[in-house]
Amino acid sequence: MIRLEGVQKVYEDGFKALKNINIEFKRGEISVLIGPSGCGKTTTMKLLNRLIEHTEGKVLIDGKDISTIDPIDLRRSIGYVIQHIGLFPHMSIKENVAAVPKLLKWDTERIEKRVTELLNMVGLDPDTYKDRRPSELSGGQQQRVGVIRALAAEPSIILMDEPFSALDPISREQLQDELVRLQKEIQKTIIFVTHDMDEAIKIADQIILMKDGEVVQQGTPVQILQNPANEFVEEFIGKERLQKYRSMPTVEEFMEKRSAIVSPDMPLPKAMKQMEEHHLDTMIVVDGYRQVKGQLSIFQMFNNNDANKLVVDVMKPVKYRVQTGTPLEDALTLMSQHDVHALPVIDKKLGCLGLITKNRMIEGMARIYSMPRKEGA
Amino acid sequence: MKKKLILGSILSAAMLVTSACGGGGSDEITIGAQTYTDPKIIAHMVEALVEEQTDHEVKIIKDISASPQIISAMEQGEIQIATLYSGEVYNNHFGKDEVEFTTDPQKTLEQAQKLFNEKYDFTWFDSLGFQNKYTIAIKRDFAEKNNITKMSDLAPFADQLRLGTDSTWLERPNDGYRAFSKHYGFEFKDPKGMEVQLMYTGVENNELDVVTAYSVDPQIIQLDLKMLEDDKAFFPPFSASLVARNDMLEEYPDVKKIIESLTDTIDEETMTKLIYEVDINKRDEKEVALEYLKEQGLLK
Amino acid sequence: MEWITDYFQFLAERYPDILKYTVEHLLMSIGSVVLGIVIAIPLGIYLSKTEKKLVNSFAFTIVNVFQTIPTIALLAIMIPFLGIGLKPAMTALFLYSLLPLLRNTYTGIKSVDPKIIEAARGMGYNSLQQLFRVELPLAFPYIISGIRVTTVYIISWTTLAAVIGAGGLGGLILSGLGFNSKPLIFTGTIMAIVIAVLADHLIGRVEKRLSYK
Repeated sequence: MIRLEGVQKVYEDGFKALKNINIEFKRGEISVLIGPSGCGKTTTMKLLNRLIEHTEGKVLIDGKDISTIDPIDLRRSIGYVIQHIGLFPHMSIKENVAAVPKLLKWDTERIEKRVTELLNMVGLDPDTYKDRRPSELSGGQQQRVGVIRALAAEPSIILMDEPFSALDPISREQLQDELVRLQKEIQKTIIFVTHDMDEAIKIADQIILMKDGEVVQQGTPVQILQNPANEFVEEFIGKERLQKYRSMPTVEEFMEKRSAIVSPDMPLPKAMKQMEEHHLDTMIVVDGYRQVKGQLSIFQMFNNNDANKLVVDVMKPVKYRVQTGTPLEDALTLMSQHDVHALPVIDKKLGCLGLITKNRMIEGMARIYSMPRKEGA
Repeated sequence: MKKKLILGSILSAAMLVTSACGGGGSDEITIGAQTYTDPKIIAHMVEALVEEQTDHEVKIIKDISASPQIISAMEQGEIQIATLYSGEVYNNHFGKDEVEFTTDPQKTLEQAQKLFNEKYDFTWFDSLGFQNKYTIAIKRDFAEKNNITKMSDLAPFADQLRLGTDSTWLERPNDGYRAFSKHYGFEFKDPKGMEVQLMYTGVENNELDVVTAYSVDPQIIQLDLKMLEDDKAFFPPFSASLVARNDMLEEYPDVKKIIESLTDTIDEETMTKLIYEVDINKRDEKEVALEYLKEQGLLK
Repeated sequence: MEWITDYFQFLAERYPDILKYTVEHLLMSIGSVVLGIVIAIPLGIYLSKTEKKLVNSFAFTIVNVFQTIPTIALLAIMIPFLGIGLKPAMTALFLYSLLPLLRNTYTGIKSVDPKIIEAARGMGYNSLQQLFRVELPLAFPYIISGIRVTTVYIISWTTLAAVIGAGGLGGLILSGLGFNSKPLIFTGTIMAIVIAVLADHLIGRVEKRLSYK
């Protein structure tokens, strides 16, 4: 856990970059520092690895005042991903990833193993990529390397300074998804700086909104979206986005819950009966750990008319899914884009909660239309 | 506008005509001089006499890097008169079958006069009266201590002595360093080629022990060096002579007379003194030349 | 065609001496450049790091001034202090090598993307590690091309060293001029060109081998 207590940063020319900051970054969570440029978000982040020294107050990591830790040692114990990637162009991918372990004098075998593991983790084939130069990789691939470079020495804290801002929208979204997925595995304390509210909403466990060197509001994305502290926050979030999150029904409100869930070892006749009872043409296959295993549609039932078969024998893999809190509109867009009729609904811990189908969506949309519209919306 | 154009073209045409005349042999005579002092003094003497006794204009081009460049400039008519030294005849201008190497001063001069006349159409006048030839000079105290007066006396010491010379001498085939060490049977320690003036700086700074001086170098006096006798007659004679293009001499017999009047009038001692005035006392070459001519009553 | 056989005969007779002049030339130029590298590269690094603007402009002005002194004049200026021969020649050549080496080192280090330096700092490189593992490798293309250019023109300027008794191929050329020997002038010139081209090629290969791009 990281705590900032009464932290100030005053530059020599008298400029107050940070005024009395008191925040906590919880262990294993993604905390997003956000705000307009010059708000102090990057400064706050850089205090943590002492790239910038604070002038007042205390910065504590697990209760230890970081001003008592040698900055070089401190930095080697904290992962750092910078904007514009910042890979070393003269080093191979392997050397880049191995940079901090090398500084920490790991033996070569351990480094080799770690590099392979990390490249696999972000879907870059080690044999193909490890000897390439950064310039031979796409922007998205480069920043994947940037992220695993920060992970290499197994730090418990990772600082990310607008890491995806230089990427094209598609790579950016992919990397955001990947970061969320990765975080489930690695459970690091991540401090993430961005100016992109969509990004913050998508990845944050906690958002810290800053302005002019002060914290304006902090809370979960939903808390902030639902109760903006003041006009500045409302403005920063944007009227449109706010409107969407306030009035839009979300997928979990209209999803089929237990009724659409079958277990992989269920015999087909039993599953067929459940379909019939609930008037569903698609069901979601979920194991005992609430993990989505696949989906079962009426077509597969027709084609496999065999009472001895189990669900697991005929189910199809699931390609798309939506998170809780996703507005219906977004879910609908996804459905029509990929021509699917149903989407599993997943919570933050990737556990399956239910299934949203087109039929259910129609009911939801109908309710929006019957609602009285807010003024000025 | 039109008038100006016409005027301009007349002017430029006129200039063309005059410059064309200049190229063909006008009243201007150009004298060339090498980088060292004696040819410069001689050039000023000729200049003074020509300008006093004739209407010709004289121009002097100084500091032409070496004699071969003088000769090719003369060949192309860029200069008409220069001071050259009889040993020049051994300087790769003629084939081995045309010229016979000898250290005899008279034979050397005769070969130069004959060959340069035949091949280059130059007149090589008789000697001005001094030689400026290579010689070996060492510090006087060292010479006296070890009783050295002749070049062959250097033999027992040579491998201890640092030699400074001009770069050319190191490579000259007949009368250069390699031939010298074969002729005298010894080699110096680490011979170095350099700008002539620097040889003396080197001696002064005690970085050199032996130099290949020119016989009229005033530094020999200044630094109290001892010139050694060429007892095995190695060095060819370098008698100074005025040399001129034949076509110029035919056109201006008066100039020829003036050049002839200088023959055999300046001995080595005199030339060394004149050079001393210029190189050591830092006087103007022209001033020294005029002063000499007036002393001799050759100039009013 | 006779001159060709004549020339080969000349080479056959004189090759030990030609070799001696060439080796002198090579040692003198390479020695000066190495000396220049030893001084200019650390100095360039220091200047790129120091925040004292005065030190910076002072150093560059001095080195610039050396660069503008004509070769012959610089050689002449050396003599009262260092005498004749190798010492003043190498000192002068060394002074000439400073500017391009210094400037390229300085520019090279300055050209490293500050983002990359920040990444290195943030990852826990100390300043020496940062210099040797990040900045110098990235500045290397600039530095090596500085060395390349400097070496080539120092080799050409070394011919003038013969004037002050330091030997080298200039000796051959000066002798050739002095007694009208074209083979000597030719050989001296060609050998100087050959050394320069070879050095350029060799350093070019090192450049290709070691540069990251």
